[in-house]
Amino acid sequence: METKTAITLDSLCITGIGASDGKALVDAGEPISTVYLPMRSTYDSTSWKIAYKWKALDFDELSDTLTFVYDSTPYFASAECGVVYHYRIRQMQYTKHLIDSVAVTDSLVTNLDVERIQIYFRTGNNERP
Amino acid sequence: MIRIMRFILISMFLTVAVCQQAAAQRRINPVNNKGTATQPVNEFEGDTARTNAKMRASMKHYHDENGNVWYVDTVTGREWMDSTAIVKKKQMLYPRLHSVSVGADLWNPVMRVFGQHYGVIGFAGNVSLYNRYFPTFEMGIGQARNTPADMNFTYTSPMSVYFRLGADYNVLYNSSDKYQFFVGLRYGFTPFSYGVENISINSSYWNETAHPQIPSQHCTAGWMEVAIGLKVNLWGPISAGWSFRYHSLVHESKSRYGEPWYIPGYGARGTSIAGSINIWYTLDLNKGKISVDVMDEELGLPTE
Repeated sequence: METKTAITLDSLCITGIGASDGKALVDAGEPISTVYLPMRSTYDSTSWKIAYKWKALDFDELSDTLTFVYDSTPYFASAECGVVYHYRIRQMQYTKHLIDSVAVTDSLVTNLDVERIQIYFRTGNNERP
Repeated sequence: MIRIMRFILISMFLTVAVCQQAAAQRRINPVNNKGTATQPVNEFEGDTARTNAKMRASMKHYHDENGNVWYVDTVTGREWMDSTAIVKKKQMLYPRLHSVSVGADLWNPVMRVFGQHYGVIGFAGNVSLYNRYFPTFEMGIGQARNTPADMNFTYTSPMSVYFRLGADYNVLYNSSDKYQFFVGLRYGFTPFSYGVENISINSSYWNETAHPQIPSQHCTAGWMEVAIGLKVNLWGPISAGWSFRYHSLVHESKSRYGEPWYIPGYGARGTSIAGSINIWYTLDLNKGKISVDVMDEELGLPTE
């Protein structure tokens, strides 16, 4: 059965591929329903690895990878906010181990705190994966 | 004896009553003069007020450009003006072409001393019409360079020209022309360019720092201003004045790199209040034709 309701997950580990020291952006144990994914301004793509740390799912081969390809533009927001990057997402790739689908609600990613990407997980009978 | 006393008392009472009646009659007697002699004629035969009222009721009327009410007899074509409805205009004491003034706006040089990071100087010129209306033209030069503390950029805007066109209205137009209190309206326009240098964008998660470039952007902007201010004669043809201005952007160019922080002639984005400090040189175009002493006498102002 397919539902599109927001859920809070507490056993996700999200790590940027290529991050120094393999540092996780979100570690297991932190309950999250939304997450801020910083793009790499010096590259034209950014990839994220999503690992599931529940006991039954904690296998590396079940981890999903999400990649965004974009054009980045420096943008003078204001004298108070300074210069930020705006990213225009051109392409998106992801694996589908536990991810059902990914939707981009707005391809222009700015410094505004607005939801741009929705990730849908297969949870099985509306329960946690 | 008693009968005699009663007669005397009754006589005194009648005398007092007659005197009182005579005095009351004198107070209410109408005064006969030339005016009262023609009063019945005015009221009932040649009464212009009644006649005019009847004519107004039966005639078409229109208003001319001076505000007068004209009645038209549609049968005879005769026209007459209602003199009771004449709008009395306040007389202009000063001639139509009264004076010409040029001045410098020292607001930005002064504000630069106090740490403002933009603005150079402005100039203004206006014509005094009746000492009441002042068509005004202003132009100036703007420039900016700003590196805010703890920020990741340097904003630059090279020297650019700006223009303002509008008019002032002198509220004290029939007072001495040495003092003016005015309200005004302006439209401002500027073609200018700007750039952002020394950009540094750090990503703590990726441990990377980018130094992108924002190329010089050429754009235009227009805004409206409402001004209120004073102008006071200091000596001879020299006057000084100030004004405060509320302004709002009307249009501006769009850029993919963001909106300009500084707009020449307008100031920094996000500030809706600006000001001017002016030094004026006024050329009186009617010197010798207008006597200030006479004008002051008419106004009841103290003469020098």
